Amino acid sequence: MSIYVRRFSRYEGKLEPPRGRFRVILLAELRRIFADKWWRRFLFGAAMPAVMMAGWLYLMTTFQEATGAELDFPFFSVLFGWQFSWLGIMQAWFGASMITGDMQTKALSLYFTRPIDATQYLLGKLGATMALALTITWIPSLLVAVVQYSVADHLTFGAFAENVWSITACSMGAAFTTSALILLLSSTGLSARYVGITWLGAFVFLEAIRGILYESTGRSEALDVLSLARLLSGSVEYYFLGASHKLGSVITLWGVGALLTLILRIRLSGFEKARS
Amino acid sequence: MTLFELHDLTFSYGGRPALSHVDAKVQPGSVGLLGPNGAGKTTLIRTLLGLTDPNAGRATVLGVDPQRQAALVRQLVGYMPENEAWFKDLNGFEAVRYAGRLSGLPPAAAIQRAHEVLDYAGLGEARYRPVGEYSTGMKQRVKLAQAIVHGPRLAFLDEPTNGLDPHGRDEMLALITDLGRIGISVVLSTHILGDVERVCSDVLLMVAGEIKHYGPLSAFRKGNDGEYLVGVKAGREALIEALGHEGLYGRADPEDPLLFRVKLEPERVPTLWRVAHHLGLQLRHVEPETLSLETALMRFLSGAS
Repeated sequence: MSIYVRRFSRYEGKLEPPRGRFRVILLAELRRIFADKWWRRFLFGAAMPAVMMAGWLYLMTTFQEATGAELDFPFFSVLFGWQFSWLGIMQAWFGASMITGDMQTKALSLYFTRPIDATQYLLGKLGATMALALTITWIPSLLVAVVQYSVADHLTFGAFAENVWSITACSMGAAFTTSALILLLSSTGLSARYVGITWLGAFVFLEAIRGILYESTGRSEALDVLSLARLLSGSVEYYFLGASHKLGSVITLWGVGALLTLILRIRLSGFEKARS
Repeated sequence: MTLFELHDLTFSYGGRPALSHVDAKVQPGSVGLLGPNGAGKTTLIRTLLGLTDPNAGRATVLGVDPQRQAALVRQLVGYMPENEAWFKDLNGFEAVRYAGRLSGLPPAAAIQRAHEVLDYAGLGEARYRPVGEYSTGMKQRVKLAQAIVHGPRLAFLDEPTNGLDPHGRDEMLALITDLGRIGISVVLSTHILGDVERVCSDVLLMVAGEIKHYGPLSAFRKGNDGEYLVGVKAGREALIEALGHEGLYGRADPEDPLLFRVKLEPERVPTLWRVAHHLGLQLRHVEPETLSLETALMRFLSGAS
């Protein structure tokens, strides 16, 4: 028997309106991931390229003739190259468990019997995964941009703001599409480890297919749709270089993300409601 | 206000009817939802939670339409699922607090209510252990706590004593019985008829997607229309014979030599006393026969078939 006196009464206070309830899921997921010691170690590793590049920028502008202002494209292209690699690993490691964990513990039945529908659930999970992705793409890049602005002699505020916009747009596109894809894989109900391996395997497989087709069919840029890495680097070129011919990569990247999100929404709706 | 109302509700899975033109008005209290496997109990609960779209008809739960305002219905009710389900990587306290937050409790209230309801459910210091490590009984308690943390007016409990040992079952049933005291109506779906007998005041019986009976449990357990169980100190056969002359036909109990059953209208009970008095026999008890729920259910189902 319990040693506690059972004094319990119904809650008579005010309940929060159901709209916006996805924030509860989003914050709970972030709390869960941030409490993981492996996430902290991962974050430390993912911050290294940005720290090193900020240090390099500082040293170069301090001890050499460079002003720092002329470094925009190659500099951020290299940085995003690193951060996108970390992003891929992060999604395989942490994003993979987002939905599959709930499916393995049958927690979906706990969510959907509360004032949470498939859309709210999706927004919560997608928001959390994107927030994690932005933590290793947007925030480090933004910090480097701030360092660049502070040490570069001739970088105007307008140019800095343009850099911030480019960093934000690149990071958001990458975070959105990769998050949608890993969540869709995660909703298959396989183990998180298997989802992570599938994610990395599919990435390598599609790169290989694109490479083969690229060599055999006349090097068409249309094949970039098969390559997430090409889409991401294309969006970096578009935003930082203004390469208008890469607009297709940006549209494709967001379009694929939106399509995957729609498929995921339909799939989650199937878990929520039984159809006749 | 009724707990829930069903109006010509129909739902089928791939052409196979799970709910077939169901009508009912269920009143507040503790209701046992009974029926054989595949009777439509789970489908009914899922429909009331807005988790299925009926083919025809409509339902209201606490006056709200679950098809149009599912979120509001789910905020007003609590649900304890049958299967083992828990939020990954959370301990008991965090899981109940999280369930409270998902159901609309403000952050501070969710913390306070989580502790209160875990005290109520009898999960002491175990609340700080991961739910995944809990025994079956503790998981059942956490599920109940999650279902009622936000103070619903109605709780759907699906097989709440599944997998519990007798002591755990006793405690769980005591908790469920107590929910009525704090103003939470209960719909208890279970195969364990003893649980319904202990906890419920009403019974809703489903067979093949139809509601075959809804009403007080005591009425459902009454014997064959107006049959009384009579006990005597001695002289059972003489009394049965004398009653026969009055047009009352008794049947001796095959197992107890001092008991017999007789079918009579309540207004004719004095006749029974008069005849016994005339014979100089002493009646030990006279009461409308009450069947065990299992017997009543078997009789009902065999009659229905």
